[in-house]
Parts: sequence; C-alpha cells; structure tokens
Amino acid sequence: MSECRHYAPMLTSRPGELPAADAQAMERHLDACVECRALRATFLATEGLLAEGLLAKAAERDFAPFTDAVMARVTRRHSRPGRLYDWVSHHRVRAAISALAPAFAAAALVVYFQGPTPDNSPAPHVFEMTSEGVTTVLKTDQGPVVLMGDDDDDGDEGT
Amino acid sequence: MMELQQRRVLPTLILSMALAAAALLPSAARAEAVPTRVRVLKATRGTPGKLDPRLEDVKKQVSALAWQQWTLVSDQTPTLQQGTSTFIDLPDGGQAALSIVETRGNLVTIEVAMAQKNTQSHVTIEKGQRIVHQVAKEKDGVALFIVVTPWP
Repeated sequence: MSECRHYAPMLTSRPGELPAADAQAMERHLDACVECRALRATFLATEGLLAEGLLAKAAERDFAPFTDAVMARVTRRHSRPGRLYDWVSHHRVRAAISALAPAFAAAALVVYFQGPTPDNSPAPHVFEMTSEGVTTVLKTDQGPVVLMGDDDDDGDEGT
Repeated sequence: MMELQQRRVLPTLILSMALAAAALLPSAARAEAVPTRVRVLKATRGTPGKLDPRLEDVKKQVSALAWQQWTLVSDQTPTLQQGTSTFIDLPDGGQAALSIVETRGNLVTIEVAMAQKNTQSHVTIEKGQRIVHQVAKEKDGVALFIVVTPWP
C-alpha cells in the first residue's frame, strides 16, 4: 500500500516524462498491483477528453459570418450619408463655416441690391423728368403737384 | 457614440440652413407691388370755387392751382406692379399708364406716362403722401389730373 502511495503521482505521467529508473520501477509495480493498474487505465482513458470537449464546444460556433458582419458594418459606416456625418462630426467648425458662408453671402447680396436704407435715401419729392411735357413741379408736405407744359395753343396753364 | 455625434451635428446643420433660408427668402419673395388709390379729377376754371367733398384730403395741394372747381371723375384702387403698366382711363379718351419703378422701405418711385402726350415722369414719395399729376392740358378751361396715393 505504501508502494501504491509512492507510485500514485507517477500514474498520470506521460511517456518519457519520468526518469528511466522510476519508469521501470513503476512498470514493475503495475505488473504486481491490480488497483494501480486499473487507476492508470482509467486515467489514460479520460486523458484528453477535456481538451476535446473544449474544442468541440468552440467548434459549435460558426465564425464564418463574422468577417462578413464586420465588413457589413464598416461598409454601412462609410456609406454616403455616413461619410457626411463622419466629416461633419470631425470638422464641426469647418462644417459650421461652410453652412453659414452661403447665408452671409446671401445677406451681403440682399444688402447690396437693396441699396441704402431709407434713412440714407434721398429726401422725398425727388422728381425726375425723363421726357418733354412736364415743366412745373410744386412741392408740398403732402406730396408733389406735377403740371404739364404749355407748348401749344390749347389753352392756359399754371398756377 | 456615433448617434450622439449625429444628434449634436444635426441641429447645427438645420440651424445653419434655416439662417441661409432666412437670408435668401426676403430677396426672393420681395414683390415690387404696391396697392394704390388712383383718382381722376376734372379741374375747371370759374367761380365760385367748388371742391368735391371726396377730394377734401387733396385740398391743400390743389388750392394753389389756377383751377377753382374740382370734381372727382373716377376712383379706383389698383395694385401697381414694377415693370407692368396699369392703365387709367381718362374722360378725354386717353389713358395714363402707371407703374412702380422702385420701392425702398417707405419710399416708392412711381412712373406716370401719357404716351399720346409724350409725357413721362418719375416721382418718388413716401408713405402718407400722394402725387397730384396733370394728365391732360387745359382745353376750354378744363384740365385733367390724377391723384396717386400709394398704400392708401
């Protein structure tokens, strides 16, 4: 029995793992001891079952679609609208300037084409005669009175 | 993380586009059209002086002229357009063409033209004023005028 206790740690050894003298001594003991021989047989029978079980478990999962799934996400992220969001989110200041620039340009055009504000405009009653026929303009605070010229003998004219 | 960034960026984009639209819309939607009251007046020499009660508001402008009797012939409220003439019929068979030349705030420049009489004038007035414009020369003591009141 004390021999069994001595050789028990060696029962799980792999070939070549023990020194030759110990291996030969263990073999001699196994020839003589039925219990230790049975114990070693059990060990040899279960050896590798754990690794095989883990491999089998790992093999249950199919990693084939993994690459496709990753590539699909990458493609979505860099799709057309995604690129815009990426660019805007990484260049917020530039994006804001780019968006505001047309607004400022439009405002500048409006100011340019509208001309001076009414406060800077010429005074009311500005009268412009662009052809013959008008000779007299009376200015009142209610507005101008425009009279036609008397260039023929139709009758009298005036104030 | 990506969604969070989008939530921050989208309001900025929308606000910027709204600002751009706000800057563009006034110029695009600015309509050079002015509602106007146009009255045709017949002015006659003679005594006693007589002013149509409906012309009381133009009394100050016409009282200094050589005609003493003023009668309202027609009263209409067209909307004058820039670049488009609005024709006003006159009792003598002629027409006066009115159009907007320019509007700037409370100022408006109106063109009054009588093709038959080779007369065309541009008059700028401000809101609250009116133009009294002779449209037919005096004949047998009678002359024709129009009173143009923008934004009546």
